[in-house]
Amino acid sequence: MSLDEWLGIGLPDDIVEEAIVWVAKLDGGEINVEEKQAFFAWLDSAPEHQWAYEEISEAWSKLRGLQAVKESLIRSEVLHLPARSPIAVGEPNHTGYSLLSWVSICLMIVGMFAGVID
Amino acid sequence: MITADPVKKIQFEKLIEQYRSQLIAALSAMLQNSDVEEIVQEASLKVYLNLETIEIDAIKAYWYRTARNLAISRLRHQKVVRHFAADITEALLELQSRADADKVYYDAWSRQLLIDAINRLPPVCRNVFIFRQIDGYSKKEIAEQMNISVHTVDNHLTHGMKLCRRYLKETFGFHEGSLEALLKKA
Repeated sequence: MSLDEWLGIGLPDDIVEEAIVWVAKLDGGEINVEEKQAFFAWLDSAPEHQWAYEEISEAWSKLRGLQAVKESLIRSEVLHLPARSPIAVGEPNHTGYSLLSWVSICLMIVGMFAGVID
Repeated sequence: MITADPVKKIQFEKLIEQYRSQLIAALSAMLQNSDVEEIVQEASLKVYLNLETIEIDAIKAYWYRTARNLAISRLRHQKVVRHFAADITEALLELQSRADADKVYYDAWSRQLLIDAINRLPPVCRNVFIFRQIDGYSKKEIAEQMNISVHTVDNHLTHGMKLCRRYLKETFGFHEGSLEALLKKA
């Protein structure tokens, strides 16, 4: 597990934090047409936006890797949700693939290719 | 050598013409000007040589990502960076060498750092974060069970990610603006 993606090396903090807002909003959520257009307009408007979004969404997806050690996470005693079967690592939730998933998959494929040719 | 699809080739040439200056500006925030030119040329050549395997709609994203990967790689190897022992790039170099030497240790260390980051989140934010990202509950389920709106769930997730990132940066000994300052000196 690398933490590089969380750091956004050389990218302005405000852009990385904008990427965080988009990653959280697009994660498994339903967004309307205007939001979708706003997202793609933001993504396309500067290389730094694409880089920050790719890296933060990669960091976000890697958090699922902590399922194996989730006993180490401290939960507040006042908040409990009903027990459920743990989801498999990398398995999409029951809402199916979201826009984020598709965008992330496309960008990860691009990243893998880019990595191959480096 | 593989001959690039003429349509893709034309598309890529248009992209270079339209976006080259934007890419150069973005890379200039990371690297010295002389390195930027080299990186853009190298990235363009790599994309050109791989056009056959790239979907036409993905050429721009692929080109940008290639340039970013090359820039990060260049940053890590710049002599000047090694003079700033406290900076993040140095820490990353050290971690990389640790990773090469002992990947198991590095993975465990990184995982523990992330766990520490999550455990430091404010209680409600932390629970939303864990419910969504570790347990896999949908945002709607979390909102209903906690009697909050989906919008508030989004806000907790955003806040949680920002705080985790700040903690990870601080743990690397990286303070606001130091990398930018370092790179301007380079």
